Amino acid sequence: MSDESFDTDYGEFAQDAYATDGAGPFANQIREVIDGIDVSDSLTTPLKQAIDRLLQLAANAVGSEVASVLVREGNEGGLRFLTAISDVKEELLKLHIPPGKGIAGLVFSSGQPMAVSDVSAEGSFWSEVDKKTGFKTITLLATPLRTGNEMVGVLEFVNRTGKPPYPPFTPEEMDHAAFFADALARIVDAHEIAELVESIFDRSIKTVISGIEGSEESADALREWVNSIVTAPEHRDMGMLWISLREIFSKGEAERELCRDLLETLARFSARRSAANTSYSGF
Amino acid sequence: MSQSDLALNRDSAHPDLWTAIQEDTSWERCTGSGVHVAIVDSGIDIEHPDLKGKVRESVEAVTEDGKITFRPSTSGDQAGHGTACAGIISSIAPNAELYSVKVLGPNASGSGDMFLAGLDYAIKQKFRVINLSLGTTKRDYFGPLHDLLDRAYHAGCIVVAAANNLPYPSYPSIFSSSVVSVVKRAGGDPFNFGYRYGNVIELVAPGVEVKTTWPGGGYRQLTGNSFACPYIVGIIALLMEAYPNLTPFQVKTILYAIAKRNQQKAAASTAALHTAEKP
Repeated sequence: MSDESFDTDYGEFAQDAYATDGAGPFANQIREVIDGIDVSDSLTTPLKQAIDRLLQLAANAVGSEVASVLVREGNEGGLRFLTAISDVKEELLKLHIPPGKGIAGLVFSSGQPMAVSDVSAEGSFWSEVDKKTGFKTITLLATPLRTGNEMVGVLEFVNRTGKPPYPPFTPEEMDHAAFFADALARIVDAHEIAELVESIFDRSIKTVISGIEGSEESADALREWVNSIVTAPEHRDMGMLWISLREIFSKGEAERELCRDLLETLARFSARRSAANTSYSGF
Repeated sequence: MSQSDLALNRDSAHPDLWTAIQEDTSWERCTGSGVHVAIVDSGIDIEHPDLKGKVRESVEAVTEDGKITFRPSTSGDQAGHGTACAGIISSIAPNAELYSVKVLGPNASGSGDMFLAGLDYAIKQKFRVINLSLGTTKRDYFGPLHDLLDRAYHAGCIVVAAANNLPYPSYPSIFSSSVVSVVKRAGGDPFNFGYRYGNVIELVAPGVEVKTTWPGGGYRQLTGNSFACPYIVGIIALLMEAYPNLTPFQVKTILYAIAKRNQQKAAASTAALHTAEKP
């Protein structure tokens, strides 16, 4: 939502806020505004963009046409595609890889990279990804994404540029892939934390909204909130947060504890993000 | 002075140390008969035409009531890694008896605890040679693995571990004393392996585009340190058939002697080639 449209929407709200009472109409309108702001983009988008850029660099360096980042899903060793450079990217993003399945699953569980020259040769090949996307994997290099002691995903390079037959991935290209994997792993880890934080924050906002609806004493709070947004646009984000948090605090101890957890998680995320930025800045 | 320099100086001081030991290549004609080799990995496809009848036992790790136990495995190898390693070992030592200890795959989560348990199982069964094309970088496992490797040594089990392909230490491949650690090189005869005395990872064996068995009766060309390790396991199986009572320490010494002769032969061959090329 652009800043301009945001101001226009709130201009309408301001008039209504002073003219009428009752939280019902305001709650719906505010819900629309908050949903429009799309909290889920504010933390993960920059990290996702960094992952995409680094993935493209990695694919160019290794000489691969298709590359993807898979991240862990659940606690049993399952994987899902986080992003990909591929004509079938949208299909890939919908896929889930069961624990231990495929070359990616093996690399994730063993922690060792592997290059396979002729994936399509006779013999079993977990080809669900190819079946569901229509893609044909011929040669493949997979390397684990690891931060410290934690396995966070797998970096895959599939096929080469141009038409087959494709030369296999070389040990030197495996080494290059490892360096990119090192950098990517840190960003992927930060992205995973950011997704968690946004999920918590998003749920909190929705909880507040559902709490505001029908509440008699919320009208003054809403009026104050809208006023602060109208008069100080540069603080509107902080104002939204303050109002939301105040509503949560007023509910009870459990809600206050949730807020504290949320803020502590945000603080840890910020600290790690700063550390990650520093550690790969020389890459 | 580096360790490599020290080794060289010792050889120069006692030039007959290695030549005094009679070169014996009779072991190269062995087939690994009677040698029990364990593969702690993702399982083995026992129906593969190249492996049929060679796998004496397959077990897999399961968690029951919070404990890891081993039960007979019928789930084969859904990942391929273990089958690939088994095929390489079998290509060098076709009559070695293979034992599959499955700690990776859909039913085995591949956790560090399962890895330790699998190695512990193999040592308790006293498998003479244990292929570990796996490792962990978790520091928490440094101590337990070190203990296990010491137990393996005292039990007479020779553990061969693949180095980490990535620039991080991986356990147990970096334990220099009781483990034979292997890193890959491109191409070459597996019997013409190298030894890098003084390096953390000492042995060098083929591990690039290795054609080997794959589940479902097929074959794959694979690259990785994981596939260099089984070549050395196969060679050790041949040595153990020729000399059944070798200790782990003796095996490492013999491997060094063989690699040294390989290097001397290569150097002599290169020198002869240069001499022949001179006008």
